[in-house]
Amino acid sequence: MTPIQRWGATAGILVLAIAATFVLDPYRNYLLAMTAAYVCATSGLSLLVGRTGQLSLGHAAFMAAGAYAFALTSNALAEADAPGPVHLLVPFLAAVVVASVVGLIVGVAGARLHGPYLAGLTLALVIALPAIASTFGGLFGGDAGLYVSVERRPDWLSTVIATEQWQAWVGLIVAAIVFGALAQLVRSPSAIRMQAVRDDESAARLSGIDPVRVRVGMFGISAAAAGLGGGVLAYVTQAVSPGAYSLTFSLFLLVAVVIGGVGTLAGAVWGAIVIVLVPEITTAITEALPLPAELSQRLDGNLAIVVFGVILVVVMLAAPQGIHGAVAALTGRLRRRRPRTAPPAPTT
Amino acid sequence: MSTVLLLLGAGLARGAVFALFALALVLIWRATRIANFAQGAMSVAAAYLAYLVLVGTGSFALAIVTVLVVGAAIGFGMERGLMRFVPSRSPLNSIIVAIGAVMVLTGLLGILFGADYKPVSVPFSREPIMIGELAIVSPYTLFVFVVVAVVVAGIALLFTRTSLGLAMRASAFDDEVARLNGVRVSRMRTLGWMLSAAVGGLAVLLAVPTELGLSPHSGDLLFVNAFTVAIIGGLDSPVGAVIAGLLIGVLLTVVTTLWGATVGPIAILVLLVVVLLVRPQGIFSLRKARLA
Amino acid sequence: MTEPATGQAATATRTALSLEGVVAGYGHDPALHGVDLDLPEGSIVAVVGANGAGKSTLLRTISGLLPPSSGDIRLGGESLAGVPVEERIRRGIVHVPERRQVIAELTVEENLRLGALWRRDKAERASDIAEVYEFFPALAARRTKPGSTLSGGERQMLAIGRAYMAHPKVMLLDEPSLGLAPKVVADIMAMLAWLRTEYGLTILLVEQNVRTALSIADTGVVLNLGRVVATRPAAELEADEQLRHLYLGF
Repeated sequence: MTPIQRWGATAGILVLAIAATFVLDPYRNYLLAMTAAYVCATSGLSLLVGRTGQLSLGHAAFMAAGAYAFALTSNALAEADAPGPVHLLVPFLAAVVVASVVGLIVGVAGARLHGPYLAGLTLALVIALPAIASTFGGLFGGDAGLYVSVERRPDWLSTVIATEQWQAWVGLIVAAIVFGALAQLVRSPSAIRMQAVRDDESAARLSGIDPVRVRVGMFGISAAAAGLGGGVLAYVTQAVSPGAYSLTFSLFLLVAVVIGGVGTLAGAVWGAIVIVLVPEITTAITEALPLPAELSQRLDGNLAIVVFGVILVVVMLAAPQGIHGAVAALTGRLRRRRPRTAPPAPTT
Repeated sequence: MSTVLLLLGAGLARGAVFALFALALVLIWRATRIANFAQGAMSVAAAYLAYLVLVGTGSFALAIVTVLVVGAAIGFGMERGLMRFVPSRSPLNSIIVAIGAVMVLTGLLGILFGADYKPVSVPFSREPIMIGELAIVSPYTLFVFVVVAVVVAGIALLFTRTSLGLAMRASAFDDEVARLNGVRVSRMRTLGWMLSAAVGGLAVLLAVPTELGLSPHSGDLLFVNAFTVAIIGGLDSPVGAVIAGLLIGVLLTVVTTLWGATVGPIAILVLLVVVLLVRPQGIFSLRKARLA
Repeated sequence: MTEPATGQAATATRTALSLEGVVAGYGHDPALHGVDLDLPEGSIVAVVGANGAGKSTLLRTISGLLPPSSGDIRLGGESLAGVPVEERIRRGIVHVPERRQVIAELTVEENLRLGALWRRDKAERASDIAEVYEFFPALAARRTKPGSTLSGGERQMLAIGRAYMAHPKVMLLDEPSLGLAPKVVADIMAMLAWLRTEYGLTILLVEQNVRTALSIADTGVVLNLGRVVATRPAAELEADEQLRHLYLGF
C-alpha cells in the first residue's frame, strides 16, 4: 500500500467508528473514548517492545506526562479565554511535546541498556510519579489531582450529538492520527533499521545504523503517542490525578500489548479493547454475585488484575503471538495458498 | 550528635533490609541469569502468611520461621510451576511472565486481605536506647542488624564453603560444564529460587514493622528500592548488594527526614538514572555492563 | 575407501565403550550418519578427520549433550539410552569439552572439587586433589587463583585434572591441543599416555592435530562427513600416505 492508501484506510476505519457512535448509548461511547485513548498508548508500546525489544513497565507515566501537560495548558487557555479551536487543539500539542521530552530523557538513560535494567528504570519512574505529583503539589494538585477545563462540544452540534459522543469523536480522531502515523512508520526505512538492530546490533552498526538513535527514537515516539492518549483521557474525564496512572495501569497496558500481539498495530487495538472490556465484565460478575459488601469491594478491581495476570502468563507460554497471531493464522488457513518455492538445498 | 547517630542507626537498619532484599535478587540473577521481577510480590505473599501466624500465635519467632518456609515454598512453586517453561530466547520473556505472576499474586492478596495496611508488631522496642543524653539505636534496629548479618554470613558460607554452594555457582557460571560434572543444574536453579524467595520474605517481614504496615502493593516499592540497590552494587556482586544497601538506606533516611517521606521514590529514581547514565555495571562490579 | 565397521579383533580385552549405528546431529542433515566404534578397555583411540567431519558431535553424543536419533551407545555393555547428562559421570564417562573446559570464575581448587562433587567419599577427594597437584605442579602453585588467570596449557591441565577427580572409566577429550604450544602439547599427551598405562584409563581423543594424536594412540579412527572411513592401528594409519592425503590433508 502507498502512504496515501494507508491513510485512506485509517480514515475509512475512523469514519466507521464515528458512525458507530450514533448507535451506541452514552456509556458505551464513553468506553469507546477510553479505548481510543488506550490505543494511542498501546500502539506505541507494542512497537517499542516488539520492534526494539525495550520493555517499558511504566508507560502510564508518559500518559500522565501528556495528561498533566494537557490539563495545565487547557486550564491556562480557559482562563485566558482562548478561542474554541485553540482551546481544543493546543493542549494536545502540549501533551505530545511534554511526553516526548520525558520519553527522550528516559530513553537516553536506558538506551545503552537492555532487558532488566531498562525495565527496572521504567518501573522506578512510574512508582515515583505519585511522589512527584505530591511534592510539587502546588502545580500538580497533589494526590487529588487537577480538574480540567476542557473545550466542550461546539454549540452548533449540541442538538445533534450528546457530550459522550463528541468525546468519543475527539478520542477516535486522535487515535486515528496516532495509529495512521505509526502505520506509516512500520513501513518506512525506520522499521527496517529497527529490525536490523534487533537482529544483530553489531552488524547494524557496521552498516552505519546507530542502535542508540534507533532505540531512543522509538522510545520518544512511543512516549509521544502515549502522551496523546493521556491528553484524550484528560479531555474525556476532565480530570487528571496520579492514581489514574498507576503501576497497575502500566501493567494493564503491557498486558494489552502482549494479548493483542506484541509488535503489531492491529494487536494494539485488540489489546486496548480487551483491557477496557475485561474490567467491565469482572465488575458485572462481582456485582451479580450475592456477596457480603466487604468481599465485593475487595473483588472489584482485584479480580481484573488476577484475570489479566493469568491471561498474560497463558499467552506468553502458549500463544506468544497473541490475538493478532491467532487471527492471522486463521485467515492464513482460509486464504488460498500460493505455490511455494522449493526450500533451499541443505549446506553440508 | 544524637540525631546523627539515630539517623545513622535508622538508615543502616533500613539499609540492612534493602541489602537483604537486594541479595535475594542477586541470588537469583547469579543462579539463573533471570532478574526476578516477581521478587516483591512473592516476598509480600510469604509475609502475609507470616502475619497470619503472628496474629494467631503472637510469636514473632514463629512468624520468622513461617516466612522462611512459606517463602521457600513459593519460590519452589514459581520455578517448577512457571518459570522453567518460559522460552529462554529473549530475556524479556521471563520478565513479562514474572509480571504476570506479580499481578496474580497482588490481586489475590488484595482479594483475600483487602487493601488496608496491616500493622505488624514486634517484641522489640522501637524506642532508642539511651546512654546518658545520647540516643543510640533501638533494640529493634539491633535485632534487624543481627538477623541480616546472620543471614548474609550464612549465605556467604553456603556459597564459598559447601559443596552445594559450589554446585550452585558452577551451574550459574557454566551450566553445560556443570552438567558434564554431574551437577543437577535444574535442581540448583530451583534451590536458588527457594533461597531467594525465603530471604526476600524475611526482608519484607523485617521492614514492615517500621512502616505503616503490610499491604498488597508493599512489594512494588520494595522491589524498586532493592533493584536499585542491586544495580548500584552490581547485579553480580553479593558484597556489592550489601554495601550498596547500607549506603542507600542511610541516604534514603537522610533524604526523607529532611524533605518528607513522599520524596523517597523520587530520590531513588534520580539515583537510578544517575547510576545508569554514569556507570551501568554498578559501582562494585568489575565486569562491563551486562547488556543482558 | 571404507573399512569393515569393527576394525580390530581385540578379543582379549573388554570393550569399555561401543557405538553402533549412531545417527545424531542438528536439523534434517545429521552430523553423524551411522557411526560404529569400539573402545577397548585401557586403550587410547584417536578420532581424526577434517573440520566438520563430526568429531565434536561424536563426543557430545556420547556424553549425552546431544541425544542420538538412532543407534546405540553402550558403556561396559550397558546401554546409555535415556541416561541424562548429569548421570553419565556417575557411570564413569567424563567429557572434557573443546575450549570451554575450565570455569573461569572458580578457583583452581574449586574446579577440581567440581569434578568430584557427585562422589560420596569426601576423605578420598582430598587425597585425589593432592594427587592432581603432583601430576601438575603448575596448578598447585595457583590453587587459590581463579581459572581466568591460567594460561591455555594450564587450563587444559586443570580440565584433565578435574576429569581425573571423577575416577572415570572412559575419558572423552575434545581437541586438547587446540591453541597450545608444542611443548605443552607434548606434556599433556605424555600425561594422557601415563594415565592410560598407570590407571588403565580408556581415552577417546578427538584431535585436529593428527600426528600428535596418533603418537600416543593405540588405534586411529578416521571420520569423514559423519561416517567412519577407516579404523586402523595408529602406526599403520600414520604410515598410510594415501589415506592421509585423502581424508587428513597431509
